[in-house]
Amino acid sequence: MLTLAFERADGLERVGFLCGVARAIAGTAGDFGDAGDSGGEALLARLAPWLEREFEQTREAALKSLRAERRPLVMRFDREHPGPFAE
Amino acid sequence: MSLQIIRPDVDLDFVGKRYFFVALSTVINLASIVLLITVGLNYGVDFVGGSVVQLQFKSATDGGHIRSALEPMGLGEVTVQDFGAADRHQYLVRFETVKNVGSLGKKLEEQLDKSYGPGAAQVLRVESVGAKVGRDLRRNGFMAVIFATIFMGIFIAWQFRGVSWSFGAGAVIALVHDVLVVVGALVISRLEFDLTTLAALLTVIGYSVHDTIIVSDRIREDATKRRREPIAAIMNRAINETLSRTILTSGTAIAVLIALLTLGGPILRPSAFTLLVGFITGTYSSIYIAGPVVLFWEGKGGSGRGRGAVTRAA
Repeated sequence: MLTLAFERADGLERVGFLCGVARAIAGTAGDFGDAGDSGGEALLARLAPWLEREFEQTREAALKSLRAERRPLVMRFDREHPGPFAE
Repeated sequence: MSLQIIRPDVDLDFVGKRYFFVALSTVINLASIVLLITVGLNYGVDFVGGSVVQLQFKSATDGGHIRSALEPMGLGEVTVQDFGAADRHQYLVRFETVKNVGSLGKKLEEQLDKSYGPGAAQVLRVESVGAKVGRDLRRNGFMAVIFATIFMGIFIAWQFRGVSWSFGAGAVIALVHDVLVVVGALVISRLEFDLTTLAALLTVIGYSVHDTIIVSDRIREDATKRRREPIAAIMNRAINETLSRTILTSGTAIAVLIALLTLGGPILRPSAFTLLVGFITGTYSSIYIAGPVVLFWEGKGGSGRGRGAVTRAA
């Protein structure tokens, strides 16, 4: 589970959300590691291009979740919904 | 068998009681104006500018501790409020927009780490609106309300010119009444007035004139059939004839809004409250404000046709 945030360069807006990636699609433990920065960075490298394409939708959903439900949006990627981890 | 909410032969005296309700509405409107000037609306960040930060802590804290922790950042006047369930330890922090902040979220986290310990606080959301943008939005928002009211009045005056030009004046006065009542309710309730609430206020204007048109159209229809009758009698009959429709339409809409107000959550509460108050007062004003204005106009010979009777058909 990663904690991510979109933040404008001028600092005027920031919105955080959670992103969970199932190990089955994230690769073997050896590829990304069980923990530590290198594993997180590798996942982020896969996520970043996808998040750029889905930026507006993700931003709106995350803002809505924080404002209305008062909890961070949780995005989950697994075998059924692989998102950027689809092969 | 059809559903009858109101008996078809109902004959309630709405027109006869108009002086009392006009006086009541005048008092309420004056009170709203006084409240608006002296207390003012609780503007959201959209209209006054500033920054809103949503923080989450790992353990409970309080507003005073948060303000002390952020004081070294020089944010000026900072307001802190609890946000959400007590077990979530979330707080909303508001302050004036800080210019050239760079990564405001990161700086806030670093500052909070110094007071609460590393990782004890998380910045979930930062939203900033510049003061000038806020002022522009506020000005444009109120201009939208004013123009909507004026053009609605012109449209109705034109559409009902065959019966009397006073219908337009009645509609505008009824709309102004509705807006003032809703604004007064918002001032008293201290609910946040933001862009969503403004949109709800414009919706109230649209709904109110819709109800006024329904009653006015029935008056126009009855006026062509009963040309010799005094306009007061025509008006009262028209209101009674449309009463069932008015109650069904308004009642169903109000029921939905009550559900939205109670179950919609804090984000929807200001707009749901605005719509609820506006729909109730919009129904009331179509009967007790728009109608009396027309009667006053016709009774004083505003059209030069003498007292009471409508002598021109649509």
